[in-house]
Amino acid sequence: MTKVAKRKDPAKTATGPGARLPGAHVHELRGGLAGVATGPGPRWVRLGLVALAVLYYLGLIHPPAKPSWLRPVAFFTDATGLFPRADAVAIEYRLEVWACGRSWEAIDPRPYFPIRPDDKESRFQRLGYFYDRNRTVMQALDAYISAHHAAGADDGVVGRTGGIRLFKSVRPLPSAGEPVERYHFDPFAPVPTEQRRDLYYTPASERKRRCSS
Amino acid sequence: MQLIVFFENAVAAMFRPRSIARLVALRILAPLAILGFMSSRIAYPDDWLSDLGFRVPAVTGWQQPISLPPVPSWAAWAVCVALVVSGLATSLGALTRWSSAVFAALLAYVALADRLAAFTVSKIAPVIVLVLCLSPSGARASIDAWWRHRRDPKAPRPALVSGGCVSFFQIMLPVFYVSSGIAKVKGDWLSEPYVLWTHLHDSYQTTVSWLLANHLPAWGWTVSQGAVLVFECGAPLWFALPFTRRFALAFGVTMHLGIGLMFGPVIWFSLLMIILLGSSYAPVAWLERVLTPTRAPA
Repeated sequence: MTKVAKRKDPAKTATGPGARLPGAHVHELRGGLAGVATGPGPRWVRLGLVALAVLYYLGLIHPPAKPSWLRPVAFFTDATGLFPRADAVAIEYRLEVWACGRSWEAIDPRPYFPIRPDDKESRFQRLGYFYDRNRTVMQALDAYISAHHAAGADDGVVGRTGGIRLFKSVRPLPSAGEPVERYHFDPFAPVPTEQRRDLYYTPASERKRRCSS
Repeated sequence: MQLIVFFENAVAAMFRPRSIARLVALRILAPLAILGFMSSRIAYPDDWLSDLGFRVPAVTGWQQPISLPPVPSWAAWAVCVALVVSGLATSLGALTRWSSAVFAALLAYVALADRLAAFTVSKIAPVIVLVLCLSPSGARASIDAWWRHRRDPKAPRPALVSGGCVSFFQIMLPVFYVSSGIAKVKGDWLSEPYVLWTHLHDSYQTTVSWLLANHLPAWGWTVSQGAVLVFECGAPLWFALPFTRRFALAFGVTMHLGIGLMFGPVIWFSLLMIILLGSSYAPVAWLERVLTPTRAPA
């Protein structure tokens, strides 16, 4: 329960319209009956919380250097770098699978990553952004997609698959003031070769092994 | 000497008792905005937290502050249910200290458990709720207050709260803005006149931003960019000076409204910031008027 500390003369400290809270009863303030609600613990605890608050503010201004033990804490202060840079291109991550007996075919990643599937807050788009050069993570993505496709996910590709190919589409932006196209996410829309950057693919030997097994 | 007196006065003002209405408004509204942001994740517990969804392997790198193992499906569902229940309980002021402690802990967990679904709201939400937990935010306009009043009608009903609780949020906002402003200055905002324009072409685009992109003259984006930069870099001053405070509040709310309308998924962040701004800096009489219906029970 909230502790309510009584003050001898809160009217002296209750400045401005603070005393006009509905139900606060101004006469109580004048009579010295009103309380000032405080946080938990004795004064020294609350002063300790003030010190933590100051550290938090400092962390917001300048996220601390991150020794491993501090990283989970520092993570919560590393929150203020909001759109600091201009985009040079519009980036979109795409996925293809090697359809056994055929070739690379575009696949819909949304059944595999259903959270916010159509925008860049999708876990798939974030995965591409954070880990596109990390082979271990890409291999885990390969295993995940392959297993779930085999289990029958409705991703737009039928039949067995031998692996994945991740690429990003880098669409140039119009100059300021030029007409802007309405954006919508279509995982099957063709990407011009010059806008395509391949990031990871399952090695051919592995694709062959999976398709023949 | 004058500087010391000024500093002492500033610290004294920071801790003087304030209307509890600010804290109550924040307690009621902030958890709802946070749950709104989380709702698209909560709808898919397995994909978000369990071993049935894609999990990033335990690799070292700047991306992931800590690698937490996935949980079984039932645990992921339990976390999501607990998140909703504790968030709503915090908003209603039911067992506020306990519910907000659970809510803050779960918010911290989900932020660390899945980096792929963590954004700015994920990072600041646990801190906001933790401060609500450590402050007497449930002392008024809450189920706790109603219950306390039922048991003891003569018990004092606090109209004021110790100033530190409110000051935390009042200081946090300008600190947040100035930090963001510094990041922008270090980035491209001084060298590239069309930073905002460049962010209108991908999946953050909304109908509003698409229409504006096609009808607002190019210099309009540069002017908006400059105004945002001046607001953010000068935020400590704008919010400290009494005669600029209300303009800063109006600008901040307008800015976040614009961001919310123009960058689709960012709407929950915008809403949370508007709630923080309103609770911290709106005239307290307005907040008390809004909270008037709560007069009867507590």
